[in-house]
Amino acid sequence: MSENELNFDDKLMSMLHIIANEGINNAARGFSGLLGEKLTVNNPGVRMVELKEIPHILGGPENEAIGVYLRAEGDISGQIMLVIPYDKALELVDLLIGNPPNTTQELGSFERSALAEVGNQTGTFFINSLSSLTGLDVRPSPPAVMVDMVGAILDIIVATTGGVSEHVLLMEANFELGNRKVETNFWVIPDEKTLNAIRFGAS
Amino acid sequence: MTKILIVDDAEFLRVRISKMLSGDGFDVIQAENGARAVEMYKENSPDLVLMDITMPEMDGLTALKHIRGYDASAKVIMLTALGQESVVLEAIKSGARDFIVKPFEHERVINAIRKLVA
Amino acid sequence: MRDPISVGLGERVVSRDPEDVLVAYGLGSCLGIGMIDPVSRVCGLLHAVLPAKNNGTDPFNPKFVDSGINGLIEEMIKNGAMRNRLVIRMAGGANMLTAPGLSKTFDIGARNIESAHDVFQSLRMTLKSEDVGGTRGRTVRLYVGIGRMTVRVIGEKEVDL
Repeated sequence: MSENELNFDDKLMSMLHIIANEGINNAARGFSGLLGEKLTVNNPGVRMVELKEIPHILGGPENEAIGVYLRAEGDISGQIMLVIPYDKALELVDLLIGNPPNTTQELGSFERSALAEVGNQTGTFFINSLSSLTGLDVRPSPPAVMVDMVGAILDIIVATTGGVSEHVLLMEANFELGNRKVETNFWVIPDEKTLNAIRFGAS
Repeated sequence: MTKILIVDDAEFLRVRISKMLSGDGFDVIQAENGARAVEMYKENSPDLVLMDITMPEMDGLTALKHIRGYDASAKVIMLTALGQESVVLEAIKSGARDFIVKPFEHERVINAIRKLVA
Repeated sequence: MRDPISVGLGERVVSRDPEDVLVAYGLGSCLGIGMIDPVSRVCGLLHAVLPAKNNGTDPFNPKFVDSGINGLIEEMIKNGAMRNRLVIRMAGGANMLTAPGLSKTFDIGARNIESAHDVFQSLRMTLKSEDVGGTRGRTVRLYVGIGRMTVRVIGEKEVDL
């Protein structure tokens, strides 16, 4: 890598860190608001991950999980994904609906809509922050809820970014809810053209 | 009874808001996207609409414009997570009477409704 | 018992070891393509991600369906298989995003399936069986010792492909 490329990537990474920090904290606020409880934000950060590694980050590609996926579109574009292990998702639904623990045993359309709304508010709050930081226009798509193996859920990310690169740039955090320990992984993956816009616009 | 149309693609939220409003004495009908909202507005003539923005088929800003085009006196309150300044401005320019950012407080919503349908 | 051999994203594995089990876990839009030569007992599994390699330099790149199939055949033959004996089965290519507003644009699964069909047709090779499309993830296993391929979907039993 040439000196120049390194500099661009340093600048890019530092901008991404700023965006990630603000965005993730705002996203956590959106999520918290639905629950009326404060969330802990664990391990927020930005990193490059090899495509092949993606399905293994969340404990294994065959584990059952819920993925809530939405896209950010506009002057800035990218993907947003919340992933929750299946059992934790059931607990989260209980919390959202206001049920005692272990009430929810299955994820019907009503329960999925609650998880979709978590994705919507969390993702939209991230996007609001992005728009406010950059002054650019960015809007969310409606969310899609997937209940399946982690590998299958994450294929959309791999397939969308995989044609262009062997690596995926991830902005990530883990949201944890105090006493009921519902862990939700939150990922933001900027599109290559957005990274380029930031990279070449940053000077 | 005052009739309110709730528009949101998340069934979970429609139910939550519906319970809240029925409890306060309002008559509530629901639509799951902007296109259905426009149809239901025409069919039911609600006194007020609570409108989400991010929805499939037709988003809330577009539905707002259609409803206001159909009925210039339509009272629409936006209820959305998409709280960006540009979005608020667009909604107001298109005739929204209020703009509430999710997550919402019960009080805020009721007060906004009461201001419009006294 | 030996651990199964995981065939990850954009990988292919060929084996002649009867104790091997090749597995492609959690195939969503990805395609798992298996080839078995029942005579030489050579087996191979490809985990392809995208339909076509376009301008890439590697004609056997396992990330793409088209180059991946060619690469799998080539490696099978290098290991003693014969092209005209190959039994081919495939699974995957689901459309995981069925929410309105998103699903139409992103049906990579369907494009992967189409690419595979095109390649097999142009190579004049037939697919013995396939379990493709739909909206659910699949795990594919290839038991090298007996040349058996299976598919498993969450909540259901492993079945023969």
